[in-house]
Amino acid sequence: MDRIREKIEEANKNKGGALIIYITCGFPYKDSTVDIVKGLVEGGADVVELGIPFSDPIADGRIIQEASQKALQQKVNTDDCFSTVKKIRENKIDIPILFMGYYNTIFTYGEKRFVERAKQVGLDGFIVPDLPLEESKRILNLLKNSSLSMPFLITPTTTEDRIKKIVSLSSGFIYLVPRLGITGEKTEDLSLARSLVQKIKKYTSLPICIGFGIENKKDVDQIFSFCEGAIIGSKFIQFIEKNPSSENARLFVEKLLS
Amino acid sequence: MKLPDEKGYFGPYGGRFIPETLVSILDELKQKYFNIINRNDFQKKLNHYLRTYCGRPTPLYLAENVSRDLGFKVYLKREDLNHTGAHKMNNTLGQVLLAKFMGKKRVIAETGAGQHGVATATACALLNIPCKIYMGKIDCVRQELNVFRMKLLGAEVEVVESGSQTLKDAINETIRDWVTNASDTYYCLGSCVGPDPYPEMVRNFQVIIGKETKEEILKVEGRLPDMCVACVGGGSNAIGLFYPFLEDKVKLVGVEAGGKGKKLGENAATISLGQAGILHGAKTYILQDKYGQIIPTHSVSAGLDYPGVGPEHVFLKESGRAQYEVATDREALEAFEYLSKTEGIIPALESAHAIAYVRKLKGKLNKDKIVVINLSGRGDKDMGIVRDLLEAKNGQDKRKN
Ligand SMILES: Cc1ncc(COP(=O)(O)O)c(C=O)c1O
Repeated sequence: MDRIREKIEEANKNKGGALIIYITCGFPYKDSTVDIVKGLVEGGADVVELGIPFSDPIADGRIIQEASQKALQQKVNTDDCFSTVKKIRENKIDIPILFMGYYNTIFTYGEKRFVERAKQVGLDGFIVPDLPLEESKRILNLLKNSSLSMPFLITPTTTEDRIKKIVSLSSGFIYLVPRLGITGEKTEDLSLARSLVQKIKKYTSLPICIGFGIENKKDVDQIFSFCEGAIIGSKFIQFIEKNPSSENARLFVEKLLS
Repeated sequence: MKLPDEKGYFGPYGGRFIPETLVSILDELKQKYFNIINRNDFQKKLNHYLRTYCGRPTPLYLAENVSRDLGFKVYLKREDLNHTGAHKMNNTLGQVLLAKFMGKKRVIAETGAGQHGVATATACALLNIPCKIYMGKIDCVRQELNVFRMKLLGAEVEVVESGSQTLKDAINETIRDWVTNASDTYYCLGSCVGPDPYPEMVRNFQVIIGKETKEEILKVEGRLPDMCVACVGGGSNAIGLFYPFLEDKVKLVGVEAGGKGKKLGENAATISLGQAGILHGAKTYILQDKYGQIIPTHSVSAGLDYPGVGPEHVFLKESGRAQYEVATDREALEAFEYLSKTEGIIPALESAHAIAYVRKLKGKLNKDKIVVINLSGRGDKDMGIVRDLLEAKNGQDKRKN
């Protein structure tokens, strides 16, 4: 059962697209995350991406780097990320949750132990932005016969050959990056993404979700018109920092889906 | 067996752990690299610059006074006599020329102390291609003159304020620029680290050190040395010296920065004190906490102050082919003074670590033994730091007396 995929498909039936929100775990405070996720669900978000803070996040722009740094200063570690998911589940929140973590945090934790713990706490999958498919064999083997999904990224430099391989290994959804570069800078033009979606659709029926530089309702509406989901990270982090309440998280999502 | 394998692995180390955007960029780089370096016009041009611009071949000097003092024969491979004062130039001339041949419009590079930044800016001035150098804010303050030097050479210097504001963060920021501008930009990486094909490429551009050494020692001694010693930051000067001797009966010793002590954070002795992990695109040894967060390092020499190391060195260590030792800040500083006074050669603080190790062999080797030390760079850049340290030390001594 692929809970993430099911949820995204259901959202597409009900409201024309799925909204995925990224938040760094333990940001802005170690105990903020459960409340934030509660608010995101109330507002109507479909999937949550929880970032495992890392000292050297090479795919991230300034906002997520600083969020990571801030969480690390409060000594948020991988075990804390797992217990946060556990707490969310104890609060009867069943929204699909993905980790987004750099490979060294997983490798150092021990891949097997990481996957076991993920199953225990009720995680639904993870995204590893610095693990290309060539290096992912071991972790994919560990995921076999589990309900954990692993979406891979496709970017404008991904060749057609690789697209074929990536869609065959991905589960949950395809994470499409609409431009070159890192998170945080506004994506001004979605036309490249539109043509990439067409290319990818030739090879898969998995939902395609677009993230990196997605900021507002206009972007989300546009994305919903040609693929299955929009992912917002940096903008939400900026928004939530000053007032990390459930209420505020709910307002952010409601505005995007209004 | 030829290493790395086609996926960029030296045994279990190396590979490519990078964002998807860079995969096809690295594929292209690898393919063009192997294509271009075998071309006659490339080889001819590179050799021309290495000879007439860089000053190669560099001498292999029999250090008479050191040999007399230590009781065995010590040769210094004089990489300090390269243009800009270190082995770094071998690599930057090769890579920037490659960038030109690939038709790239812009070169980017990281720098710690500024040595690789200066060498990159120099090669870019020579070959007339714009360049941007990323340097951590803390390093910019520590090495203010090198910032000026790079600017004088026409480079744009970007101060990196993210993370710990040192070399590792400068590399992160250069990678971020690269992911953003991949199609027209060449990343000139400064050591044998990073994703495949960099460890192999940088090694191949530095192998000239070992090749010249081998040829020269056979000429003057009629035999191979017993031991080759080099300092290890990322490991490029060391692998350059070691590589041509890998199949020979020659002991290879890499010397890491022992810093102030063995505690995490007090040193930069990645092979001696780190564990397997992933940093800057490669599986290698790194200095990290138990959750895989990279920790800030310390060394008196900025060029060794890095929490990772080239994957080939980890392979050589685990396979037992090379041995890795540490020299502390204090030992390096003593070796710095020692070589200056004994031979009239002021070494880079990095290279002083290799000298410090060899000094410890006094009385332990027969007088017919031959040791080659790679003098990777000269100490001009370290005058300010060493003066401050010596003044502080002399102050303490005076107070004691
Ligand atoms: C003179 C000198 N030696 C050694 C190093 C260390 O680098 P590597 O280990 O790649 O030779 C540096 C780096 O800046 C350097 O400037």
